[in-house]
Formats: sequence, C-alpha cells, structure tokens
Amino acid sequence: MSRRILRIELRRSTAVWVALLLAATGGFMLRALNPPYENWMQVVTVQRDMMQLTWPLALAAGAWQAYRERRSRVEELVGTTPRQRWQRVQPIAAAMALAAAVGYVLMLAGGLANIKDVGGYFSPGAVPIIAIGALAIVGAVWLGLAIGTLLPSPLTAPLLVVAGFAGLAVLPQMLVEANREPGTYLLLPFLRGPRDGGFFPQVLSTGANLSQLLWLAAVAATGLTLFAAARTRTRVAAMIPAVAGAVAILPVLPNQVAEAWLPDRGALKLICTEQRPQVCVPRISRHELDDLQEPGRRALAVLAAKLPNPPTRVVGTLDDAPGRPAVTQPADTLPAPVGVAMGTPGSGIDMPVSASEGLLWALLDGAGTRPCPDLEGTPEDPNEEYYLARRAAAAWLIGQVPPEEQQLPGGQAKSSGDGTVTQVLDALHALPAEEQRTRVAAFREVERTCAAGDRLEILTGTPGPG
Amino acid sequence: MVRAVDAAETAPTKYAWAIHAEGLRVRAGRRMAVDGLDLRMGTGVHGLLGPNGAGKTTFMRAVATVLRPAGGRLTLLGETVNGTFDLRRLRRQIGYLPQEFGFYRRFTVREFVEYIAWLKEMPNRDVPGALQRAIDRVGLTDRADDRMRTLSGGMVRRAGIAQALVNDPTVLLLDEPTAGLDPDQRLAFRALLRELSVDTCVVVATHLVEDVAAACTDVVLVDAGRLVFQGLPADLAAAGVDVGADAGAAGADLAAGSPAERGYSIILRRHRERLGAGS
Repeated sequence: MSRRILRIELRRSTAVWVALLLAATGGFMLRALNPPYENWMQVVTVQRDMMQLTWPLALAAGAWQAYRERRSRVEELVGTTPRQRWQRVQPIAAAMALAAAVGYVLMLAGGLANIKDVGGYFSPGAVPIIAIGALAIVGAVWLGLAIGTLLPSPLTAPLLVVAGFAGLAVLPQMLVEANREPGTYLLLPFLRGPRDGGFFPQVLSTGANLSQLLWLAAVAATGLTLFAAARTRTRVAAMIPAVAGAVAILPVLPNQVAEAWLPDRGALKLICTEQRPQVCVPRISRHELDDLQEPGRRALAVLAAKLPNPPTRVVGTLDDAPGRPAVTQPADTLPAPVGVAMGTPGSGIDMPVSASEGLLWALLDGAGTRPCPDLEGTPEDPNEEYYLARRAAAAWLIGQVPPEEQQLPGGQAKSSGDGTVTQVLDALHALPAEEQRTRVAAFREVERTCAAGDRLEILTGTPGPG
Repeated sequence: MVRAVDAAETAPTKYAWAIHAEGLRVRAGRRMAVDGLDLRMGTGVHGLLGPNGAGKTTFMRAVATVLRPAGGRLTLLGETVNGTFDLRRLRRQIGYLPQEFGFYRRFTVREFVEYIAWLKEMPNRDVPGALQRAIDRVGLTDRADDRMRTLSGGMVRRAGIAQALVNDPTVLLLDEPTAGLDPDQRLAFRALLRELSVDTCVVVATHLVEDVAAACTDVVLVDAGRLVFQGLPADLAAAGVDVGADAGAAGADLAAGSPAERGYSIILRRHRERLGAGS
C-alpha cells in the first residue's frame, strides 16, 4: 500500500471527521450522561455499553465514505485503471480504520473528565475491554464501507444508523430482561457491564474476552473482504470468516453474560493507613480513604467506649452483589461502606448532614455491622423494620436521634405503618443502663453472625410493630 | 534530464495499428451504438467526429476497456480484446478522459492526479516527475495545490486531461476535451496535441470540427455506429470547397461555416443519401 496515498486519504476522506464524530459523541455521553465514575473499569465498560449508538454511527460513516465513488462519479475512470480493487481499497480502509480506532480511544477523554479518582487503580482487565471495543468499531467502519459499496445511495448511511440502533439498542432489550442476557449477547459489539454487582469491581473472564476478540476480528475480516471483493464469488467467500468465527465460539460461550464477569482480585487488595488505629480501603476505592479516616476513628472510639469486645480497625467494604453469602463478619473489624451508590438503603449517605457525619452514622449502623442479606428484603420491598432496628442501634451508640428524624417536629412517625427510630430508642432507654448495654452488644453479635431472631425484640425486649 | 529506461520502453513495436476495429459492435444499454465499425488508428492525433448518438462515446468506452465488444474484433496495441487477454497490462498504457469526468472534490489537483497515477500502477520513483509534467502541460501549475472543487469548468477539464496524460500513455482517449475551455486554452490544447502526436495514438472525440481541422493528423467521421470517412483534415476541408456542386435549398445553410465544417456536413449528407437510396 502506498504511504503517500494513505496520507492523502487521511487528509481528504471523511476519516478525520469520523474520528471527531466518534470522540465527540462518545466523549460527551461518557462525560455528561453518567454520574461520576468510581473507577476506570466502570468507564471502559460504559464506553463499551454505549456501542449501541457508536457502532451504528461507525457503520454509517463507512457507508457514507464508500458512497463517495458514486457521488463523485469516478467509477468509470477508476474502472479503466489497472490497479486491482483489493489494492485500491487499502488506503481508504486503513485510513478509516485508523480514524475509528483513534476516535474510540479519544472518547475516553470524556470519561477521564468524569472519574472520581483519575490516578486510582487501573485494572489490567480494562485493557482488553478497550482494545476489543476499538476492534469492534474498526469492524463497523469496514462493514459500513462494504455495505455502502453494495448499496451506493445517499440513504444508505442514515438508514444504517436507524437499523443499527434498532438492532443493538432496542431489540436486545425487548427480547431479554436485564441481568438475564444469554451468553450469545457476547457476540454483540456492545458489552453489558457487571450489572448484578453494582459497583463491585469485576473483570471479564479471559475466555469471554478471547471469544469476543475472535468473533469481532472475524466480523472485521468479513467486512474488509466484502469491501475489497470485486466479484460475486469473492463476496460470498467473504462470509466465511464470520460464519467460521460464530461456529468456533458459540459452543464455548457461557449460558449468561453475567457468568463471564469475575471479581477483580487486584482491585480488592487493601491499602491501609500507617497511623493507628488502622483504616483500610480496597485499592479501587483509594480516593475514599482520606474522608473515611476521621469518622472511622470516631466510630471505633464510640464502640470502644460503649460496648465490650470492640473492633480495632476500619476496613472499607464494597457494596457487593445482593444475594451474597451470609458470612460471619470478623469481630475486630469495623466494615465501612465504600463505593456506595447514593441513596442505597442503609448507606446512610442520603441524609441532610455533612459527609463526615453521614459516614459516622453509616459506620455505626447495626452497631458497626453490615446488613444481613437474608433480612434486607429486596430493593423494591426493603425490610423497613430491620433497618429501623439497625438505625436505632446507631442512634443509641451516638447518643442522638438520627438527623432525618431531628427535623420532624416532635419526632412523629414518618408513616403510619412503620415506627420511628425515636420510638425504638425511647423503648431502649426505658431499660436499665446495664441492660441497654447488654442488649446492644447482643444485637451486634447476632448481626455480625447473621443469626436468626427478631432484631427489634433482641434490641428492646418487645417485638416490632410489624 | 537523464533517466533510466527499462526494457518495456525500448521493446520494438509488434503491431501495425494501436487501435484496430474490424466489424466492431458495441452495445450502449440496449442499443447497438457501434454497429460494424471498421477503423485503423496509429500514432498521431485522430479527430473523431459525428452527430449526437453516432457512437463516438461508446467507441471510446470500448477502447478504454469500460465496455466489452458485443461482436466483431477490437485489437488494442496488438492484442485482441476478449475473455483471456491481459487487461491490466493494456490499461497501464491507456489514458482516458471520460465524457463525464468525475473526481474527488476534496482532493487537490496534485493529489487527484497522483491518485490516478497510483491507480495506473506507475512505479513510485516516476510519480513525482510525471505528476508535475502532466500538470504543467495543461497549464494548471499555479492551481496545482488548490482543491478540485474550487476549479472552474475549464480547469476541471484540464485537470482531467492531466490525469489522462500522467502515465505517458500509448493510447490517449479524450472525450470532449475542449468543452469549457476558453479560446486561449484551446490554442494551448492544440499545441499540446501536436506535441503528443509524435509518439502517441491520441483519439479526440468532439463536436468542434475546428479543433479537428487545426490539430489532428487524421479525421474520422462516424454515423450510426459505422465509419463514414477517414482521411486528412485537408480532405475534409476539400470536400467543403465545392459547395456549388451541392447547391440548392439544402446548401444554403452551409455557406456560413468554415471549409472543414462544410466538408463535415456534406460528407455526412452524402452518406445518408446513399444509405437512403440503397434501402
């Protein structure tokens, strides 16, 4: 391939515009349409998910570029030149591929501007996600070039955007409910992030990455061959890579996309303060360490003053998947919620108080334990009574009515069905001081081990209103 | 200037005619636009004349290897155009300006001509020199780095001639090359044709009889896909001198034209009369 011609095509074709289009639309969506990202893995996964839109755009860009031949009416002149088609298309295919890949990577700038901790942990698992995304977008422009050559019309490009968007963004969602995507969805250019895990750091399994790599490379090869083909026979042969890729991959795909996501061990490694008492967070939440230290040590001090056998260090714990196994939490560790989505029940961050104050309440929720999965209820129907008991334990430790109830005149009930933390606290305060201490300690113990038992009864001696 | 000369350039010519058509039939869509054409063209400038629909463009497209002959025989540079011959070798030696010359609007003149040079598989080392020479020859030197879309109609035509010339073709096919050229440019173009006539088989399809009379070494007149006349420009003009012989109402409108134009009309009319009498 001639370098001089490649340079001409890079400057004079739509290549530069394609790179800018992808970088601008993708970058804008990464920057503006999502809340700040906790980590890099989230950015690159959202970038892949956005391929529902960027992939059809790249496809259309390829088709529009291919329409140049017909639009410029050069077909007759070019047809009388000796250079064979497969050679002739190389510079433009290379220029468009380069533009698409660069545009895809530049998109990340939008994510860069919207990430909480830019210098934070960069999971090696993010690299294949980006690389495979770039490959998919290159495949899209090549496929677009091929379609634009076979259907040279000004309507081809806009129709491809519509069809691609319908096929990628609308149809798959209609067919399958969220979180239940079958493994065949790994064949689509976009990638569903680790939905079940919320912000729990995960990486795509090597097998899934390899399957996608092989399949998307096969699609790109088919697109390029189809574009470079001069004869019908070659065009039919161009289907071979895609078909072979699908046949090779289908048997090894997991049953569900969710199975392809594995915990990111590197991201979970703890980093701790040197100062005692120790405060630790997973590497991926490094940026939360500073804010956690002051309330973390205050919470340790409160627990040490009021309860026997108190924890001695704070460890940031990620909000992991619902349905996680109920394991006993170690007695010497005070779990701290990190990487928590705003407004999650029990997170304690949805209150009209300072972040530090909110964190203290969150740390002491359930007398310094994490909620037991079996008792939490579902996100749609949370177990309010359970959360009430946990909150009352925190209020007893801190010695205050929780901030959300401080604002209610006279500590009235929020709603008719549920009691208030104030009511539970009053019932607890009615007991002798030593029994209060014993009951809260016992409450902490059952919460820590997730043992059975009515939590309000354990705390106050009287079963809950429900 | 000294340059290396390769074996292909010094090889002796093995054919008598660059273009040789025998009973050639070529379809344009459903119509048989070239229908039994017998024609021989060697080195020199051949002016291809004929009324609209005579088959000029179809003949040019057949020679340019855009269209396949439907019948008869077409021999280009000594090789018969059929299913098996080496199309690529032939195409390297052809320069072609289509009647409807399409181009990439965003390219500069230099880039577009270079792109065509690459498509014609010119060796990389020859390209820069050939490029500049082609652009100079059509007088676009000062516009070489302007975008194609900024050129006027005449300049686009000249850029089209430059891309046809760039590979120093053995057969140069120019379909309506002077459309849009101003009088001064047409004079320059005629000079260019004379220069090329030394070693190239140039075929110029045109409606402008004056261009043919002034710059061609050979005149070819076709009608309804067949050869009507082939001869020197002087022969064409000579046919127009004795208009008196063809007097009458039909001849009155001929008085205004130049001898060559009159000759063109008279030869065409006689040919049609003969056909009319024959059928």
